[in-house]
Amino acid sequence: MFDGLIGVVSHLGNLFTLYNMTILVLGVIGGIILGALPGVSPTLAVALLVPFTFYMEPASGLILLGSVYTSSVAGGAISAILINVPGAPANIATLLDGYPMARSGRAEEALYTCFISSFIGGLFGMVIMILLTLPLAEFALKFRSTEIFWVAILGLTVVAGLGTGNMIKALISGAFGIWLSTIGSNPITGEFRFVFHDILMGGINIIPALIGLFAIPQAFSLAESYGAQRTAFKIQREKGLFGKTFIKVIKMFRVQTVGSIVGSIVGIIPGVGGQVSGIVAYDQVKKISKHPDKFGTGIPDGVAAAESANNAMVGPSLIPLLTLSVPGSPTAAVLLGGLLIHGIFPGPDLFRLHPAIVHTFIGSLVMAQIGMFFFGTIIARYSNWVVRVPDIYMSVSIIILATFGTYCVSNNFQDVIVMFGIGLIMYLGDKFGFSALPVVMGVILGVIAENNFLKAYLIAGAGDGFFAQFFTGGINVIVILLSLFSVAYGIYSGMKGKKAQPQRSDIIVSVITFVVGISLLCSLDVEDPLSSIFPDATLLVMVFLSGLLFIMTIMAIKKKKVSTRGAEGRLAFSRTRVMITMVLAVVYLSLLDISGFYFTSALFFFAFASIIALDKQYFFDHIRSRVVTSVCFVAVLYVIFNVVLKVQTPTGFLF
Amino acid sequence: MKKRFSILTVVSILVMAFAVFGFTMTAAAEYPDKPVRLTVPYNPGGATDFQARIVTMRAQIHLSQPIVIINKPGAGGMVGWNWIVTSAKKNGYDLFSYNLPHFIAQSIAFPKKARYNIRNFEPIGNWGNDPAILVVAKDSPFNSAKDLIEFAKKNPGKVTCSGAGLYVGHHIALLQLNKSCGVNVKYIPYTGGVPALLGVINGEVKCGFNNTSDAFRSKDRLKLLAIADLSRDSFVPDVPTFKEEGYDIDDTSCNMRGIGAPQGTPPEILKKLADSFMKMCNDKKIQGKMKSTGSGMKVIGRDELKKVWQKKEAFLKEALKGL
Repeated sequence: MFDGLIGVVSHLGNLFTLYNMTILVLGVIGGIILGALPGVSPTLAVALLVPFTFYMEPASGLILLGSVYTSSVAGGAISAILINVPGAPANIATLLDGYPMARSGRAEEALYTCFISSFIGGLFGMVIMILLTLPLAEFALKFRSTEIFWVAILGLTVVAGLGTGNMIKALISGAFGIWLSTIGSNPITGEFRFVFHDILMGGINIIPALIGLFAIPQAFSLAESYGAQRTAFKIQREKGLFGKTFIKVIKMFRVQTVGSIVGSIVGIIPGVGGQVSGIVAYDQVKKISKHPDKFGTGIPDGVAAAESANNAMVGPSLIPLLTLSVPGSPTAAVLLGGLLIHGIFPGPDLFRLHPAIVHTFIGSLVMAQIGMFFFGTIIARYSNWVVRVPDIYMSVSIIILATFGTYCVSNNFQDVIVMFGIGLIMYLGDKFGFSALPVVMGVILGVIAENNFLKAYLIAGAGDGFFAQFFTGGINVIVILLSLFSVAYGIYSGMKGKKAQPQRSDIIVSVITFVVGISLLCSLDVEDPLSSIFPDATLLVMVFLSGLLFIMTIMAIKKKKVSTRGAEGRLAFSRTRVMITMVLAVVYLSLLDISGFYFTSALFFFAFASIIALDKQYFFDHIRSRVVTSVCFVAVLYVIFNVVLKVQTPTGFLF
Repeated sequence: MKKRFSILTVVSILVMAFAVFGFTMTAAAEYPDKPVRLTVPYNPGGATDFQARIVTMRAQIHLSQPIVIINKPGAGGMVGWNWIVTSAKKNGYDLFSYNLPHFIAQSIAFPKKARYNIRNFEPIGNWGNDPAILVVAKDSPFNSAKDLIEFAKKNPGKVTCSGAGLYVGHHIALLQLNKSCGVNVKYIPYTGGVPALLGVINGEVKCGFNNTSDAFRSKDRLKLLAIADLSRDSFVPDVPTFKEEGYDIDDTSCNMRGIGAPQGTPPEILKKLADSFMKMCNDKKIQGKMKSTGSGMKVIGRDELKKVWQKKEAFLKEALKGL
C-alpha cells in the first residue's frame, strides 16, 4: 500500500532540477491562464500541448502535461467566479456561489476559497491515488454500460434541485438539454436525428453548448443593464483577507471532506467522472447543510464544495489509465497519447518498467497542486482588476472570448454559429425563469445515458434479457437506490421549501415548450426504433411537464396567487440595447470568416463599446481609449491563441 | 495622462497598419511557401491524431514547410471529410488524414450525408497499418478462434462482439467472420476502441475485435486469439492469422492510415507532396518514434494507394449490401 508513496518520495529528486522546476512553474501558470479561458478545457489544454513534448525528455514532457492538467482544472474556476462563465464543465457548480460573491465585492475572497479548497481536494485525490491504486483500478473495471447508464441517471436526478426555484421549469430545461444531446448521428445506431441543417450533423459538442449557455446570456445581460446603478460596494483590498479566508476554509471541515470524497469516487467512474464531480458534490453538501436555502446566494461553502471535488477528481481519474492503460476520461485519453509518444506503455508493468518516470510524473502532479495554490492566490490578489472592468468592455470581451474558445475546440466555424444560437435561446429562456445549469447537465449526461443504454439494450437482447442486465449487480442496485432517494428528497424539499409563485407569463411559456416538444416529436424520422427511444421519451416528458406547468399556472390564476413581479419585472430593460447587441453580434459573426478573426474582433470591440452607451457625448469622448483597449485585447488574444496554442483561425482577406 | 494615451494610440494604429500590410503582402512563390494544414477528423490525442503528428513532425525538412494539424471531429469523421470536399482550398495547402476501411464504408453507408467518396479525393500516401485482432477476456473459456466460432455456431445470436464503432475495421472484420464461418455474432458498436476493449475485459461482451496496438498494451487481461491480416504482426508474433487457423478472412479490415488531398489539387503539387511524404515515412527518426509508440507502419505510395482504395471500395460495396 505504501510502495507508491515511497516510490514518489524517492524519485522527488528528479523533479528538483532547474529545468524540470522551470517547466513545472511554466506549466502551472500556463495551465491556470488557459483553464480560465472559456472553452479551453483541461482536455484541450493538454491536447494542444502534447506536440510540445515531442522534443523533451519523457519525464520533462510528462511534468509539463501533468502540471497543466492539474492547474487548468482549478483555473476554470477563475472565469466562473469573475465573469459567470465556467472555463470547463468541471467548473459549472463553482459559479453558483462564486459569481454572486464576486458581484457583491468578494471576488478575492471567493478566489482564495477556491484555490485553498482546490489545494485540499487536489492533495486528497493524490493521496487516494497513490495509496489505493490497485483496489481503485479494480473498482473502475466494474463499471459496465448499465452501471454508467444508472450513474448518468443519478446525475440527472440532481437537475430538479438546480433551477431558480421552479422545479418543473428546471426539469423542462433538463429535458431540453437531453434533447440537444441527441442531435446529430448516433454512434450506436448510426442514424442521424434532428439534422435540420448541415451544421448540426456533427451534433452539439459539449464545450460550445456550455459556452453558449453561460457566456451569451451573461454578455447580453451586462449590455442591457448598461448604466443601471450597480449594487454599490467599495472595492478595497482588505488586509489579512487571505489569512481570514484560510481559517474560514479550514473550518469548513464537513464541506471539504464531503467534497473531496465525493469528487474522488465520482472521478474514478469512467466516462462520467470529471465533468459532474463538482456539481454532484455541491448537491450533496447542500443537502446535508444546516442552511440549504443560502446556497446559490453567494456563500463560500458552495465554492469550496465544488472546487474541492473537481480537483479531488484529478488523481483518481488517472488510475485506470496508469494501471490498466484504459483512460477513464477524455483528458486521460489525451495523456495516453502523451505517454505513448515517449514509448511509455501504461499498464500493470508501468510501475515496474519505468518507475523513475511514473513516480516523477505523480510527484509532479503533487508539486503542481502546491504551485497551483501559490500562483492561484497571487492571481486572486489581482482579481479586482477584472471586477473593475466596465460592463461594456466585459460584455464585448465575453462575446469575443466565447467565439475564440468555441472555435479552437474543433477548428470549426459552424460550432461558433451553433454556440450563438443556443446562447440566444438561453438568453430568452433566462428571461422567463429557466436556468442554464439543468440544460448543461442534460447535454453532458444525455449522451452518456443514451449510448450506454443502447449498448446495454443490444447486449441484453443477446444474453440474459433486459431485467437481468439493468437491475441486477451490486453497483446497479446501489446507484438505482441512490437515484430514487435523490428524487424522493427532491420532491420532499420541493414541497417543504418556498414554492416559486407561478407567473402570468408561464401560460405563454408552457404553450411554447408544449408546441416545441410536439413538433420535435413529429419531426423525428428514423428507421431503427432504437434511435427514437431516447428522444421520444425525453420529448414526451417535456410535453407532459409543459402541460403540468400550464394547468398549475391556470389554477394559481384562479386562486389569484399569481406573482405580479417576476418575469414582467425581468422584462423591464432597454430593448434598444439588446437589439443593437444582437445586430452587432450577427454582423460580427458574418464578417469573421470574410475579414479574419482578429481584425473583425478588434473592429467589433470598438464598435460595440462605442455604440452601446447610446450617448452621443460618450461616443466622441473616449475614442482613443477604446481604440487602444480593443487593439490591446485582440493582441493578447493573438498571443494566446495563435502564438502559444497555435490555433489557426480563418484569416479572410485581412487577418 | 493625455500624452501617454496619444503615444499608445499611435502605436496601436501602427501595429494595425503593419499587420494589414504584412498580411496582404503575400507574393506568389514556389509551393509550398507557407505552412500546410492537415485536417484530422478525430479528436486530438487519439491514435490517428498522434500518429499523424509523428509522421509530419519533420515536414520542415522534407517539404521545406511545417505541416500543421487541425482537428475537426464529428459524426465518426464525416464532419471533417465533408469539410474537405465542400470548403477546403484545392491548392495543396489543405490535406486530410483518412482511416481505411472506415472512411470508404461511411461514404457507402450514408450516401446522402457523406458529401465525399474516393472519387473526389486524391490519395497522397499511406503510413500506418493496424490489423483487427480477435480478443476475449483472460478468464474466458475460449482459448482459440476455433473454440469461439464453434460456440457461436451452436448458439446463434447469443454471442456479442465489441468494436470501436459502426463501419470501422472491427465491424468489417466481424462481417467477414460471420459470412465466412456461417455464424451470427452480434456486433456491439462502442464509442471508441478503448471502451470497446474495456467491455471485453469486464465481461460485458463475449469477445471483441480491436486494434492490435491497443490490445497489445492490455495483453495481460486478454487472450489474443487471431489476427485479421495476411501475415503475423511483429508486436504480437505468437498470435496466428485467421488464414492459419483455417478461416477465409483477409486484410480488408486492417485499419490503414494515410493522407490525401481534395480533388482539384494541381497534379504537380500532388506529386511533390507524394514524394515528400515518402521521404517522411522513410526518415529513420520518424520510423523509430512510430515503433516506440507501438504503431505499425505500412508505407504505400500514391499510385499503388489509388488501386488499394478502389479495391476496398468494390469489396465494401458488396459486404455492406445486406445491412
